[in-house]
Amino acid sequence: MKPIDLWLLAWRGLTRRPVRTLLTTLGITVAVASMVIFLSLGEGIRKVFTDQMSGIGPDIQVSLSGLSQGISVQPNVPESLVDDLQKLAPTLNIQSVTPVYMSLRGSLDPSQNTILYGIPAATGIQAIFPNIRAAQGRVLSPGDEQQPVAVVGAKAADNMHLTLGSKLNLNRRESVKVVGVLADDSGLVDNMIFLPLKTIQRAEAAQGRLSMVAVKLNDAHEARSVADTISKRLNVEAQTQGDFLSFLDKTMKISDAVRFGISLISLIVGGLAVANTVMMGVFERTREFGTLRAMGARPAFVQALVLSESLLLSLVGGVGGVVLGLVGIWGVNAYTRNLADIDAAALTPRLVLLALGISLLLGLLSGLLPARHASRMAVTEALGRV
Amino acid sequence: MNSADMTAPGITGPTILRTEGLTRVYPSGEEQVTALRPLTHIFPVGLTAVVGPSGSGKSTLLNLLAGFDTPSGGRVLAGDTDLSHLSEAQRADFRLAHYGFVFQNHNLVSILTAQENVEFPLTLAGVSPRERRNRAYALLAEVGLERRAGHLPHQLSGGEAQRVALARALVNNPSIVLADEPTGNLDSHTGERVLDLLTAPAAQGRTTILITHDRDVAARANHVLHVRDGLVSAEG
Repeated sequence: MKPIDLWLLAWRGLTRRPVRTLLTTLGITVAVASMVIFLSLGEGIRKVFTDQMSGIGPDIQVSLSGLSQGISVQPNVPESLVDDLQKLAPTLNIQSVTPVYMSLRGSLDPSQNTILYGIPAATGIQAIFPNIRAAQGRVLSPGDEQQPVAVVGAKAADNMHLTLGSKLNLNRRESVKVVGVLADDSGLVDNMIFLPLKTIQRAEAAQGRLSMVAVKLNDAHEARSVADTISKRLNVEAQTQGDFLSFLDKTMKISDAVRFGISLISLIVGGLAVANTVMMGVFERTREFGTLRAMGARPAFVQALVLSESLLLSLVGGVGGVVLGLVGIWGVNAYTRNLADIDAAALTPRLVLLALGISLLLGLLSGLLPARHASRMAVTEALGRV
Repeated sequence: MNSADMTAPGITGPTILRTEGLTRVYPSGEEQVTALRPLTHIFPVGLTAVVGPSGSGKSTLLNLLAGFDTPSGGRVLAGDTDLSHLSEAQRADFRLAHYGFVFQNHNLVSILTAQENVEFPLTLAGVSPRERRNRAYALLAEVGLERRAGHLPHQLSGGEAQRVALARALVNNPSIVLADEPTGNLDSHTGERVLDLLTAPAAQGRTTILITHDRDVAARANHVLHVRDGLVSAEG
């Protein structure tokens, strides 16, 4: 039999019980869609970081513990490290050395999460994020050091309802006044609040301590070799943007595995639904398979027919899952765009291929047992002629 | 159907189906039940009726002649081919090339139209769509059902479905036709019509073996075999 005839026959077999087939397909669609949405989060975050982090920020970040704790780097770096780095500046072609204090401000409401970013007011935000500009008010100026002032990213201002002149409480004793709101940058900076270094250190009782030291080079291409030299000479962790992105990729891979593990449960349930539908079809058509065998169909043909039905069911469910996943991704992005002005989820070609590949694998595995059962039936038994 | 289309061996010689010491014994707990006692017989060209009461061994004989079942002793030879020497897949190919089947219940594939059901053996054999359409339509016309070609089995009457099944059995131009109580579920008028169709190809040089418990049906056969308690005896 020609393959096209086999697939047409398999399709007709599935349409015999349209409601059951539809419900099973919906089961796979939902399972695949949940996998697509879960995994698309990783793809989206990767895309955001690759697009945005590579164009902004320091060339090298120097800390004691590296980036193992992500953005919320522990403030355990002594300020003396700044002087040490400045001494090396002429020999290593360093343009600027900026002490940074970072603090993650969390809340039960995700829209209220933000990053407090402390830098010397005299250095200015543009020393690290050169593309930013104030939409309202101003950016930090040299006179702001130790003053209770803040410049707020566009999304942070929106989420926390901050405008020019608003008061922002850092803790029960300390508060700052908003003197500037940054223009929408569609990036991570939008969710940050910039403060003078001394102001945030005082508020957090962390005088003399930093999260990291940001190093800008005259030639960014030398970042890797300069970072190696700094690490060796000062016995610290010096990481480039490439290191950060590679670390991020590693953490995203772990996160992908966890999210894939969760979606695997729904995939297994979907697979069992396929197996059940195909097996019921086999039981219902025992006599029909017997007739096919009597007429001259080989056992392998019956096996291929049942497997084709299973694969078709999974493929249709998989395509439906990708489409439904796309709708889900649109919903997730609408939420995260509102929350942090980023598209956290993205449907990439490799994710589409993965979803369809897993659907087919699911179909193959689910169909194996019913196909084996159907092909091994004795003709006399199948025809009820014993 | 051209046997060259198949991987199955062809049938040679004037005698196309015969048995040599064919027996079938089934285990039943500690005991053995003999369903078919040793049978050595030549099935000549023409219509052979196998008659006998229920449970006498008629179906066992048919299963063995078709290669659905393997004998406990002896052998079935179609031409020079010993069916028991063929693998499961080879037996399937052999049936596709040389056999046609009509069952008591029409056993049509419920998702296929009458035309597609008749085409099915040709589809299995990989015949081109145009050729199989033409051949199936011609046979449907022969059984008087060309106007019902696009109908599904559940839209056909019992007699119509059985005529479609008969067309399907003949579409690959088989050398051997095995029919198991083909008129059992039909009224006498429709049954007569099916028998007319069955005897027509028999006259064209086929070996048709018809299982029945109806003596009137058997009376139309060229040869009659009686089966009782697994013992087969010839008549006429």
